[in-house]
Amino acid sequence: MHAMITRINCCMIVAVLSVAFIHPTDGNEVDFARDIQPILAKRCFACHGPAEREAGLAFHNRILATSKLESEKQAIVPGAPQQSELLRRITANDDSERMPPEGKALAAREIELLREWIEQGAEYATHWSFVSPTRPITPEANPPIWTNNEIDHFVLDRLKRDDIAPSPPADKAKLLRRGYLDLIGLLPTSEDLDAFLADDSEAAFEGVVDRLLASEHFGERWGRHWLDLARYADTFGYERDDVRPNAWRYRDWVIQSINRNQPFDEFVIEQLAGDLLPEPTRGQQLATGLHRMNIKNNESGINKEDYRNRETVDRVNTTGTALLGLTIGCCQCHSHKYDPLSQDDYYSLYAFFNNVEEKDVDIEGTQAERDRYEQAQQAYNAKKKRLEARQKLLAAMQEFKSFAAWQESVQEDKLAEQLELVGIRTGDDASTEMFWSSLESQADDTKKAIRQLSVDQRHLPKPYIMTLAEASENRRNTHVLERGDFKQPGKQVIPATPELFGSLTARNETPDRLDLARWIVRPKNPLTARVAVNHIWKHLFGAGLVASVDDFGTQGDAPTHPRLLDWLAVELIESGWDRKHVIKTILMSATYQQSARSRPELIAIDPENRLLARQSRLRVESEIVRDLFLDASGLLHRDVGGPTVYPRIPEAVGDLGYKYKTRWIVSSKPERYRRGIYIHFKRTNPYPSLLMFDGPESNLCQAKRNRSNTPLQALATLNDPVFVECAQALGRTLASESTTPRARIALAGTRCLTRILDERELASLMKLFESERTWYTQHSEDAALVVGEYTTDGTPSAAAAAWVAVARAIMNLDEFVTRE
Amino acid sequence: MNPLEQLRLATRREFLTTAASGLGGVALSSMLSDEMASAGNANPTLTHSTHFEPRAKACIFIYMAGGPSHVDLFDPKPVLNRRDGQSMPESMLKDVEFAFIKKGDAVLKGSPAEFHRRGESGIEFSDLIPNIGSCADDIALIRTMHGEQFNHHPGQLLLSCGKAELGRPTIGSWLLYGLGNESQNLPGYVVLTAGRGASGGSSNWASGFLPSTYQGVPFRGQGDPVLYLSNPPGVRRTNQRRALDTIAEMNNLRREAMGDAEIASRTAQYELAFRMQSAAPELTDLSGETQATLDAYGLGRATPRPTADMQSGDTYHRFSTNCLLARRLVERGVRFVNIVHASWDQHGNLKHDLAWNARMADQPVAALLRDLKQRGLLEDTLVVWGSEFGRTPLGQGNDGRDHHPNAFSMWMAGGGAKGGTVHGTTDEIGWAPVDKPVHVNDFQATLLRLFGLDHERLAINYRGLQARLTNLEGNVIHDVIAGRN
Repeated sequence: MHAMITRINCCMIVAVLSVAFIHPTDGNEVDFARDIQPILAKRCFACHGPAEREAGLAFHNRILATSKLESEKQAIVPGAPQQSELLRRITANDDSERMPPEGKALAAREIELLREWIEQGAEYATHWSFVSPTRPITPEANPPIWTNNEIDHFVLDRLKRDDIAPSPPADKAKLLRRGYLDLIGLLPTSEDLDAFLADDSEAAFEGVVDRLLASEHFGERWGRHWLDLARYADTFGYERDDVRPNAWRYRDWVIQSINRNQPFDEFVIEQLAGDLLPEPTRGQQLATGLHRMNIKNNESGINKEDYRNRETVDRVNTTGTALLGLTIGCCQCHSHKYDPLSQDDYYSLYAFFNNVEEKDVDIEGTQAERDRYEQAQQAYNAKKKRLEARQKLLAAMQEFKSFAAWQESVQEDKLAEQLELVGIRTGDDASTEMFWSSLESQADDTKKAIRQLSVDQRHLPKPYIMTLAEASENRRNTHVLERGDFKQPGKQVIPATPELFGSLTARNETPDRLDLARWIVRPKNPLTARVAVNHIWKHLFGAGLVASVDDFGTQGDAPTHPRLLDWLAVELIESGWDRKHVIKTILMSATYQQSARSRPELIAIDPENRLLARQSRLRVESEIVRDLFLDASGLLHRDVGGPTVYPRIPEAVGDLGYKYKTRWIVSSKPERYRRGIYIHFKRTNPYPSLLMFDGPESNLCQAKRNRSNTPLQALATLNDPVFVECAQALGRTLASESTTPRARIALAGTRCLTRILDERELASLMKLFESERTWYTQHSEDAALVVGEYTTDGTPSAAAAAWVAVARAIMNLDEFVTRE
Repeated sequence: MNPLEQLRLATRREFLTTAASGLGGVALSSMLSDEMASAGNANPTLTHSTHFEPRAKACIFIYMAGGPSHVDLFDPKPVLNRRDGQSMPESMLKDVEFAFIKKGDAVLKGSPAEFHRRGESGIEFSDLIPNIGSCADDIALIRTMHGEQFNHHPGQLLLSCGKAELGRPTIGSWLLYGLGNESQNLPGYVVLTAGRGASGGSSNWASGFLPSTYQGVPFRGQGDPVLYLSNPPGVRRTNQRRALDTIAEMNNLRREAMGDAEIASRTAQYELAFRMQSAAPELTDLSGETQATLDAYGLGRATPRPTADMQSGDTYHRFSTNCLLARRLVERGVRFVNIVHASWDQHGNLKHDLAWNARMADQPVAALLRDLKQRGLLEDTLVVWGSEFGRTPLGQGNDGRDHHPNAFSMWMAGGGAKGGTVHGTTDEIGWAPVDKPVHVNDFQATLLRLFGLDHERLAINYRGLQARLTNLEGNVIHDVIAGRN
């Protein structure tokens, strides 16, 4: 460590220092989980661990590690390092004796830790996240200031250890904007702001929070978070990437479930096993669409069993990552090298999903939709028949080379019909001649048209929803697959949950998905509630209390505030899995309401803000970037739910997919101005700005989004026609006002940034307004182009263009797309 | 949390925002630091350190998706020609899977192409690609490539990402992550497509679990070369400049108020975007190229009439343009250029369509090699010809071949590749390697090695695993790396 500090830049010193924060305890006692387990896992488990027990020895379990071995020796003699074979072997000078046999010898510090640990009794402790949470005692806040609720006690307690003071509350206006962005992903209006600023009561913010939690847009904002985990997309993926019929109905189920605050345990049960509930409702069946969201290969010539296996694996892994925060995917090929999960455990989980059937269920009570589908299907059949006839005809015609020769071969009564098929008007010599001269290339067009038609057919709105069901016959047995290879089945396993977390209660002899789902959300499950509240925390602070939101295992990060995490987990469970309650509790905390202003002294010691001495500034997610533009411009169409929409995309973007142009018929207004969550998501060719701002590729369960900052993002918000149109619309609003230019700029500031601009800011934007007005006065043609369709009666175009420029600048400020 | 991850987090802001400099360079340096500490070899300028001395600085990856037929282009098989029409022994077919061929009716299909020895090295190339053949002495041809994916998209994922799994970074992302981008005005990873897209779509240039900064940026054949590059109608460069000045001024004020360095990064990205707005059109403006150069690459060539399965239009011209653009990108410091073309899937019409594709690629690819060489760029530019698989020596129908991942050919030139080399031998019908097999992961390990990167150490922690391009496999093929002069 020391050598590193002297050499490497100060960022790294910060990193080294911040390591100390990550460890919950800091005494002299060797801590098994912190100090020993990682060494054993990294250097010993490969041969002596959950997967392998060479020489009968394994270190993942105290009994195995301290037993007499075949050789009569004992690897670990608690309290007696001198007699412990482990110590002798890791310190041996002879290469043939020294452990581990591969790689470098253990570092002196590691050997010392092992020695101390054995001396102190070689106690094993179960990894923190594998023990059920209990409600911890809330620390005293002394002096009792700053705190709003229990959360603050835990945070303050941790801050005090480093003598750090929390930050003052955020400016009231910015707090309002924060609440809006976090809960519904939309901006407060000027009226909202005025009302909030005028309300001096203690309960003012609580009123806002309650209102936002009850807003139907809350489900859009928080539903989208879940959809990342659900790998939601509107197409199947892989080569053909066909449209997934009615995927959006599952998306709407998620939005509605979150809006009605369905308890999280039910939310999980219905998605994993809604079909197995007694007399499931259509909604409960629809919920199982979760595990129809996986990528699916419809390419011809694939090995079906290969892909069925891959889909099953994805279902298991998604369940593990999204709900248990475990990297169980590792065990697909071998027992987990670090976490006590075996390959048997993996395939026992796999067994729960090994007999699912993909079942398409009729949409209830939508005769109109069924009729529409029928009609479209008939139209397709007719068109296809016609094209095929034309193709056949063209082939025949090519044989004859001349009109006259061909004409002779056709029965007279069929002639007119046939001619019509290839588009020749009877008796028109010119068109006949032209037709014959172009005959050579005609066949190609037809074949292409037939193909495109079949693509169109796949886009027809199907009258069913995709659900999971359990196969009732020809049920498969489940085998461990050696190296994860579906062609190498090994020993047979039955559905079971990992031993480590205790057994599950089954309703029948063989446990099924419903039993599994209930096991996942039973209060004693050590992971589920912690993982769930950690996700919530991440959305409200930018990072989870456990930074590795998808890895709660021994290789993951330790929680920065372990007791707070447990307190929240228990709060979630005891409130009846009430997500809105937990979210509200966090929003009401002083911790959440702190200013996001960074403090020089914190930059050095806590650059990532893990100790929560302030709020974080976070660039909003890809969908929300677009939503904010639309919202501030007044163009946003606020309908909730329904089929996907197709906003405008640049020419040729649709060409990037395979074979066929993406069928992208731009939605009409105002549909095309709907929120980002509703944009049709095509896996092999997604809507460009969604990915540019780090939206998920939606192929796999994704627990965390990046927040990159790139020039392509700048180009998008400056120049993408969608964003430009938003600037035009806001520009028109400003141009239509009858107040002074300064007042209008102030208005734009309030509308976009939810605060009063200061003098310097007003001056800066005024300067832009003046310079652009002068420029466009001399360049009136440009002015008209800048304003586009968004003209204002009575405003000279130069002024109107200058207002568009001002709007465009404000919407491109860092602050506009940042939640502070 | 491992030390690398800690460093990554601590310097995250710097990482995610310094698109133009070696982001991963820092990552890499931190990986190397342990080792250097132990060697006592402190190097204060770590940004562009590599594990080994690099041979290549840039890569042009000619991505021939669909599966070009190795036995008709790169791997001559006289015995196959002699056995045309015969069936294969059942024992050989036992463990093989096909996408379409029915094992019962399959018979061997000889090649319609002639092969001749080329260059001083005398490597045999098909007459379908005489110009590429003429560069034989610069080419290291690997005839024993193999993978296990026999469908397009999975095969393409294996080639691009090292594993047939979605969600992983592609080769260009790894290079950018490890080495950074030397261009101040252009993205470090550029994708050029001609004709229809590959079946893998954007997953062939995705950054997967690496930050999206490392994603490939498709340059477009129509409209703006980079998406949203042009100012909106009526906004000229001077207007854009004034807008950016205002944005910078306002951002600075906000930075004073909030103390967040990320705000300065945002401003810097806007400035980079502004520079890109002139750099990208300058890149695609070919008026400075001589007519001789344009002709050499075949710009303006007519595209012959394709059969029904092929795209028409100006594919030949576009592919030629892309090859020339690749050179111009590399000249400007871009790290990785991916030229994608996807029409090599000859299940039928093999004779015509293969020749059509070969003609499209042959002249411009050879021109690229010669041009790079003449300008002294080939030395540190690695050019790769790659595909997700080859095609079956068995015929499919009258005039086709099916997918064949068991053996196929790829080649590399320049950037430290050993010219005039053939690596590996397949059996007498081109079915499977018999000597020196090279798995796709081995190829990737070798490619990274040419950039001075150790494929086992260029890794990041992802879901509890040290994830890397070559998955858990890969051996560097030293035989195709040239010795130092």
